[in-house]
Amino acid sequence: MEHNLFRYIWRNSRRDQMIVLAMILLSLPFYFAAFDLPKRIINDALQGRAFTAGNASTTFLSLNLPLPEALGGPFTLFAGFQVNQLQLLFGLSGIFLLLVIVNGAFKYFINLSKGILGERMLRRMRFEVFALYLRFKPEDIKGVKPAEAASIIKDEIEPIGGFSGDAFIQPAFLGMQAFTALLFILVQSFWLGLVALAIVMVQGLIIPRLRREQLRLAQLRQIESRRLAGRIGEVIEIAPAIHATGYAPYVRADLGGRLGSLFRIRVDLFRRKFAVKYLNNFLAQATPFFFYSIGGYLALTGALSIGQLVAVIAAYRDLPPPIKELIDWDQERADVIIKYQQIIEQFPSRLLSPDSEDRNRLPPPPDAPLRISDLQVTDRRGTLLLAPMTLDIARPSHIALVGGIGSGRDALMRVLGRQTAEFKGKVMCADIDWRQLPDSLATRFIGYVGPDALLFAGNMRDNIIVSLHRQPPLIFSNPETDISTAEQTRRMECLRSGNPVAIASPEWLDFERAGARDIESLDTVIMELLTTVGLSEDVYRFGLMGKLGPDQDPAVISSFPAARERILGNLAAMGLSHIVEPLDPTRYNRNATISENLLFGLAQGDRFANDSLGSDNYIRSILEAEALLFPLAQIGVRMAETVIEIFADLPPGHPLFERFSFISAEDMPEFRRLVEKVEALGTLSRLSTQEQSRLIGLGLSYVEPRHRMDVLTPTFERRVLRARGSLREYLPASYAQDIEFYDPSRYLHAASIQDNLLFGRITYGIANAEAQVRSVIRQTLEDLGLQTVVNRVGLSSDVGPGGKLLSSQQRAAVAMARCLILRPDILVLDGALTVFGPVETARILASLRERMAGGTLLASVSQQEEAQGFDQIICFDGPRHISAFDQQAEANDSFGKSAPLETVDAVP
Amino acid sequence: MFASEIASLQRIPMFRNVDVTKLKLIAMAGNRVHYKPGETILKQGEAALMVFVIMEGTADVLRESDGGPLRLASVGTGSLVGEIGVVLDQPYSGTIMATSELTALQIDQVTFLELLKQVPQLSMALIRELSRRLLTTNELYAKAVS
Repeated sequence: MEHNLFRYIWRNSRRDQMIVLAMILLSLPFYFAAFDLPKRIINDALQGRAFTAGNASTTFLSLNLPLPEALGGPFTLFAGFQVNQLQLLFGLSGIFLLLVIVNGAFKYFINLSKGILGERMLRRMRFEVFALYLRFKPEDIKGVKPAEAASIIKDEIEPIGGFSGDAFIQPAFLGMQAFTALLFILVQSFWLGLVALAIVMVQGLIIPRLRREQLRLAQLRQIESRRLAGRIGEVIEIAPAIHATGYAPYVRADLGGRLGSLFRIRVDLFRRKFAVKYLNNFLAQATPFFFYSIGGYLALTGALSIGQLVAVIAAYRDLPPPIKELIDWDQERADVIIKYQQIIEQFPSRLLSPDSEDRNRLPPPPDAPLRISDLQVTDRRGTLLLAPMTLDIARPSHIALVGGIGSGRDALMRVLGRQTAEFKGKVMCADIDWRQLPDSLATRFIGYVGPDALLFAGNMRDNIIVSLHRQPPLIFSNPETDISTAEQTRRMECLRSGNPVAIASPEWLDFERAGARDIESLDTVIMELLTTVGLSEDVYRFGLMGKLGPDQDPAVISSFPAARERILGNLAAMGLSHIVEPLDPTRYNRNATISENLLFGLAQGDRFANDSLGSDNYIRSILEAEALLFPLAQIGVRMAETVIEIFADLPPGHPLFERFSFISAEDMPEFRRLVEKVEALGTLSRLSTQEQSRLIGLGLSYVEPRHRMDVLTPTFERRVLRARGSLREYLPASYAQDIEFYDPSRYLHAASIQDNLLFGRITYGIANAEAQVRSVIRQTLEDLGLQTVVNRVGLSSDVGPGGKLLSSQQRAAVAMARCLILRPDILVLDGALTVFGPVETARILASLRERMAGGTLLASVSQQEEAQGFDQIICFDGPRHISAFDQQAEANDSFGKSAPLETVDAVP
Repeated sequence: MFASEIASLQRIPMFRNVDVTKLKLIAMAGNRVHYKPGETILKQGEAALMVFVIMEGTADVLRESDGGPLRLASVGTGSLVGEIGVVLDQPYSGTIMATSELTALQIDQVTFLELLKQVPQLSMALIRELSRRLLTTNELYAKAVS
């Protein structure tokens, strides 16, 4: 980015700035005329100066061209109208009104243009800064605190962008206003003009000096605010560790200190700001004193007409605001220049990767060897991570890098995967130098999967195909295309603010790269990849637990009842009918929750959610009629007591708590309080309705075979069934939208695919019940061609922020699939499999090797045994490369001896 | 809650010294499953994803051999099976087949490993059990080579 802010603004908004400046110049005569007119109204129309010679009429609106005598003298363009005094008054007043409208229109146009210009510049700057962050070298971007970057792009650039609109226009506009007003006063009265000028000089010279300290404090506040944002982001990220280590009080104290520092800066700022404001106001208010006293004296002595005095006072009313705003502009200028410098300093060119986008440059041939010469890696403290090594890696081949965590193995993988640019020596492939390799070319033949699987919020599919968004759609290729005005404006604005014209859309997808034709075949490709990385079963399971969207093909939906019939038939044929307990309107389903049994349907909103059921008057009346309120609350109390007892020693974020607690971490304190209160009162009846409803809500989630408290008696079940009947029979019309009742004859959109396929619950406690049911479902769906529908729903399942809804293994698998979908010539697996156990690691490695047949696979492993079958093994001891074995050569060696390809490098 | 599981677990020597609260945690984390005679509880060579605490019933420990399944031992109420594969993250080394109506508490790998961390008495009990088996194996080996 340009280092000089004004040059940057001018370069990127020259055209707009000049248009607005031209408008300002054009507005000047109208502005001046607006000052002059009140004087004419008073002197000519009201005091009758135009009629002093006994004339009954005077000329109004005559237009004369003052040509010199040599050119024939003054030339009358329009002779005007003859008007009497009253007509003159209304005529002049009419012109005054017209000028008000015209000046207002100028102001509107100038302000609007200025605002748009500023916003355009803001958009450009935000985009450029964001793009610069994306160009950070991998090792440097890790040092950037996300919250600080967000604070810079979102907050700190904002005033600079806003200032862009004012940078040239504001001083021109305000200067013109002030100059016009001052000139007008000087023309009317030289002495009053001098007084006004003196006051302006005081304002213009003293106040900016006083504001310097204000600026310094504002900058300090900005830096402290940015640090605070960074610290908050950091604390949120490591919150579980803070909980686990009891670090929270210290963190709170630290944050309190930072907030205190911000407070103190702000107080100092207020002191300075309001003192300056006081002085400013004083000067603004003191001037009328001089005008009234001196101007009044001049008027009384006849040196100044009353009309002139009124016009001068009116003109002066318009003088301080532009002067004040000019001073504000100057302060803003100094402020944003510093802010701009601070932002620019974040992006020294040494931190940025090359930005060349040469689509014509070809990746190296797949058989070009990787040549590593004198490669050495040290960290920023000078610690040796990889001792100098020289090695040729033949391609295509599968290479295992064996070594401990943190050994030279990892450093080499990071270099080969282009995760660090801080190395000495060279890595070459054909004529391509790793150090000079731009992302655009690198990602066409290298895939890197590191130990941290980085996912973004969205669904599974989006996280995998993110790497396929490589082709901006050619939107200007067809001029015949009918483009709406709104679209034309959008594109024009993109170009004007230096943003890409192409919007983020599925059109970016490079299907060919993945070996697919369209989005449907892409899903097939993704599922194949997920099979390779061991995630396809999970996705299938997510699909079964997911719901079909409202836009689903009706033909697909209508095929579900037949699929259900077939599944239940197959289970019966296998003698497995007992492993699914059907949802029968006349029976209590012991494998479902009490609320599912009560509603016999699915809640569509909050009204029928467990937490709300106990407080809803209608549901309460139904439960009360069947004497279910207190039994349900009692079940809730027992469940709460159990959770409180079992998890007493475990912190709320503990995996066992997360997995098995019936109560969420945030609800725990509330239930602890309720249990204590029930114990103290010895009864449930003295709890408030709200408290009872909390316990009832918990009790409604009870499932006998899961929670195993032996509380379900036949009587209780009968009462629930009766309540079920009443609930449906007397359901108010206004409640109908909040529940979808179970109905075997149609597809239940609020239910999962599995629920629709089974219309029942898998029985708890039967060995392998779930696996057997899933197997039958899978077979049936395959037969009916519905498997892809389920997979598609599975791929659309949400992964949560940062992939938090997935396990670490699932996240790692998604990261691998994301890389594989690009079909890279070279795949670098840098600790990507560490989250898997040995069995799964071996299985995934074997499938990856199969998929990468004919390509180059570089995988880091800890033990040489894990490298079985690889073409080449490169071993490391600490930072040193100790050997490279060609397993193929070893196998072919008739003497059966190890055949080192390279001797151990000499290490200094 | 989990009264029957806790009573069953308390009868098992391995869990005898574990607090009732922790037994409740184990019961809560587990899934009570029933097997009929002849049903396979776990199979040799399959990924070890579960451990089973046999709460009632008996089962045979089988090992595949060229001559068909070889019966190595019999296990019954109180036995923990599948734990070696789960701890080592290796496939099951043998097959366990129910020989009577059998009830077991099934605990998945992640939960079991987490329980070992959380309940030291359980870890100690497991160490004791594995040490006992090692001793038995050593004695058998010594007998075989002598």
